[in-house]
Amino acid sequence: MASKKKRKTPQRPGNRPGKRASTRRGKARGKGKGRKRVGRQRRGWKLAIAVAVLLGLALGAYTVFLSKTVRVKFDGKRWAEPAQIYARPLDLYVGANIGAEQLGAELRFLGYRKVSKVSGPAQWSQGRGRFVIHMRDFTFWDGAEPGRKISVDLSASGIEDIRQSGGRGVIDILRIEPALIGSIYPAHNEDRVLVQRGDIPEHLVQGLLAVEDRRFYDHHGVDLRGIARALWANIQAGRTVQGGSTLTQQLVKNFILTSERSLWRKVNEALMALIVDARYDKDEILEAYANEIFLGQEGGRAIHGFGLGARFYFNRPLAELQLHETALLVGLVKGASYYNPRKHPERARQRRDLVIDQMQALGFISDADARHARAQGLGVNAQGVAHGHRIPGFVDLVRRQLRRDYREEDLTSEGLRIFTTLDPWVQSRAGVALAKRLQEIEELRDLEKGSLQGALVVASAQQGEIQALIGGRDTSYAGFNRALDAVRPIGSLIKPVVYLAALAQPRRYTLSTLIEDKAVDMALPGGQRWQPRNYDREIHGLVPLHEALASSLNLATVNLGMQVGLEPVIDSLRAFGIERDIDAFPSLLLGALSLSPLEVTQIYQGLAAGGFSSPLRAIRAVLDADEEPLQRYPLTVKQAADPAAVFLLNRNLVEVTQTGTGAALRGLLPQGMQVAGKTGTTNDLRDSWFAGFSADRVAVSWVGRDDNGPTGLTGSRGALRVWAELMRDIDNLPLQLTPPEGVEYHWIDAQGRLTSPDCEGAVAFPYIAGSQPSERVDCRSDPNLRGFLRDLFD
Amino acid sequence: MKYFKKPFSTRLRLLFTLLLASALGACGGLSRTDRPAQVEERGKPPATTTAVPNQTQIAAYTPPAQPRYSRPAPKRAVAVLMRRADDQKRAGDLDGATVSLERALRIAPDDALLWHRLAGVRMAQQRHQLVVQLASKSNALTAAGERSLRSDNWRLIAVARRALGDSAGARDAEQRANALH
Repeated sequence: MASKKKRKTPQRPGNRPGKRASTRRGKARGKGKGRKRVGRQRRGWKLAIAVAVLLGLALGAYTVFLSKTVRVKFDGKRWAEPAQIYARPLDLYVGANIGAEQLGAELRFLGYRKVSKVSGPAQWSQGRGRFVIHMRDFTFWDGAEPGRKISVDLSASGIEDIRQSGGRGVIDILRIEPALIGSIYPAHNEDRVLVQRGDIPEHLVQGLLAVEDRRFYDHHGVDLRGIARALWANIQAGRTVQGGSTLTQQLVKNFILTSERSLWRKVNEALMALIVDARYDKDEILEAYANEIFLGQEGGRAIHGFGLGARFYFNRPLAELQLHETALLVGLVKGASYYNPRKHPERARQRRDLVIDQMQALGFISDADARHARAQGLGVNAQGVAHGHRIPGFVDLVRRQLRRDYREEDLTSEGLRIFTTLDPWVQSRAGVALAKRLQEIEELRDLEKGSLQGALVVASAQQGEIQALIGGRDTSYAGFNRALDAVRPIGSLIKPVVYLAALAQPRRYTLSTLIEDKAVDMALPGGQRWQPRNYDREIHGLVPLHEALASSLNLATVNLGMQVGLEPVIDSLRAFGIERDIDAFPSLLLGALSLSPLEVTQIYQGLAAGGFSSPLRAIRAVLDADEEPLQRYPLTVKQAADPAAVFLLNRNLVEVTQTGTGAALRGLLPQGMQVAGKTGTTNDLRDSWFAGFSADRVAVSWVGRDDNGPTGLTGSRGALRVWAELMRDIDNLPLQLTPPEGVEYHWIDAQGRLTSPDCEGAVAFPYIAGSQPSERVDCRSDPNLRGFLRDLFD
Repeated sequence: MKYFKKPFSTRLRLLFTLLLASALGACGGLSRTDRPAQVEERGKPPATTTAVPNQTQIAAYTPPAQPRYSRPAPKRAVAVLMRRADDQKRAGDLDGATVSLERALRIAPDDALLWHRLAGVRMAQQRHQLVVQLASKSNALTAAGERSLRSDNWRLIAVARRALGDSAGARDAEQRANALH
């Protein structure tokens, strides 16, 4: 895959320095004259000529060499253009449940300016219930969305109306461009967003000319007058106060040479500047300069070029910057760390104002414009906002998924555009939910501050698109990614898989089948014995299957699992996308299987989707630098289990959240917000898990300690709180399960016998057709049950 | 759509717990998150609301209705995308049609018809295994009453199975399709 980015490069035949050398040789030959000269003189001349020729040749050869270096650098791949990573675009349509808070956040995330009256692209205004937005143009993987001005009416229940501003017709659906959330820069850490000459605002060029190289358009790469002026100024000052380097020299210095300081390097630099100037036109040089210049550092990442500079400091495309903003960037050329506007705002302001002053003095801008620009604040956003560093966990996942299909060098250099599934709104809510709840739990349970860690993964339930991924408490810290790499025992989160394996045998097991909660004592290979216990340390005897799962009874589960067999459980885990080695020990039935939160999400996505598993995806499409589609990652589904059995199981998982171990959700989620899920707790309360889903989202949260020490938290006291906080905060469709083909409801009594709907206590249970109980009772002929129920109510 | 409130009492809750009525969770299910007091009745059977001592409140069983959006269904957006996918498919832009349908499915993930259409586009691309999966998914989301959509899905499955060399499976799917027709 080669970069198709075309750069106009005039091809000039031959090379002039070489020609110049041969001319010189001709002249030297012509200088031999006067036969009557003494031999000595002659020899002297000859020697001089030979030396001159040799020098000329050497210089010529060297120039040829330099020229070639220049050409390779310029015409070949000038910049490794890192792949740009985008979030999902926001679909706006009537009926979308998007509130004003979310819409505002999405627009700010895109770097749109909030104004009182919208007058151009990338601006928005907010009135009472109405947003006016002027969108930027954007090319998606399936075509372009034109930039246009729209008005969006919101009510408490979402978007009511969308119209083209000034137009009459309603817009049914449109997309707002996705936010740029990161890039994949190469190992030498140079990150950049390439710009073309046409993207560079004139006031930026003027600023550069004003303070760096006034005669840029007049000199030939080296400005002797500039050097003389600088020299004079430096002599007067007694120290270096001015540089005489042209933009071309600066470019060559950054671009081609090392930072060593020597006379030799200076000579090289000047020579190459001359070559560059001879070979390329001024606009090409300017474009190269604009993409090369170093403008800042963030951790290990070097910010190169005005394109990324604009993103990094202002979260906007370069072309949208205003005068005071470009002046700030120009000011950074002199010293990006010394004038770092985030660390040294006052210095940065003085430098910026100096740039504005010079532009004014040279007549590039009017006095009024200069005054206005000087009156502006710096306008720099918080550190690295919206460019990858707020969401390192997700970008990490994207990189890992991309590495399966692309070579590292293509990712870091080909200017690919990666469209991901990240929902910035859900992501931001997830980060807040985790941080907030962990802090609360620590306070409530008197735990050491900061001792708890956590991870949170959210995916679309039916498609498996990762919408948010939080790898730890400090969401801006690009360290250990717990969502992917904290591989922990999953405890009771495995139970649904065990029960599913049972329910897939409808002749043996239904939701109402009585199973035995009795002591387990098994010999292990090492001569040890395995004697698991229930969390409440009780033994419950015969319990209905659904109750055993709802109450997460360990003994009933082990007995059930041993009857069903470990193989079906393992097969089921495989079918739901777990690729890791799984040991076929009975303890597997209680979750002695270590998985990452992401892997758990994969299992529960399959359940949430009614048994149709989709490989979790973080990427939708990849375009090349010319916006041509390279690859799509389409929606695929694979049936991993019988939908009828999954339906029964999911009914049971709803019960978990209503009366079972997850009943705490009832007080945490809005009433009527039906969800299904399962708590998980591991030995000594080391890991606290909750995995569950609504109709359209599946989410998994984990809470534990990095040192794997006990937290004192069950799944319900820890991870469930985080999960609930998030799900309450974001839009969810309540879960409602449609019985698939082959599922029938039957009325049964408390003993699990068929009964009539009008009998007291009759409950309708779903059964896979034919598996319903065969015993039938008539409530009127069963005084015992009636008496039992009467006792309850008296 | 008629709304009613859930009756609740301590006793009821006791019974409720004992009978695990809520296991079935069929509390009629659907209320908007910001409209908590109202529960949308789905003409559905059982469970919590019917497990009350007063026998007159026990409703006769009827199969659950087709899932419904708790918010005004974004019908127009979905319809526009479905139409666009049709146009794209007709014009031979099968990738484009896939993208449009996937986009619609993000808006209405449990719309059985969208899954069926996606299976249809995949059929045109000869992705037969995926066709079987997508059509089965559509069937799993189709309410019992919608026989014609089920039938169409089985027909797609039959064609795909035949293309995959599974003639017994294809015959079985055809029979199911015909039985529903």
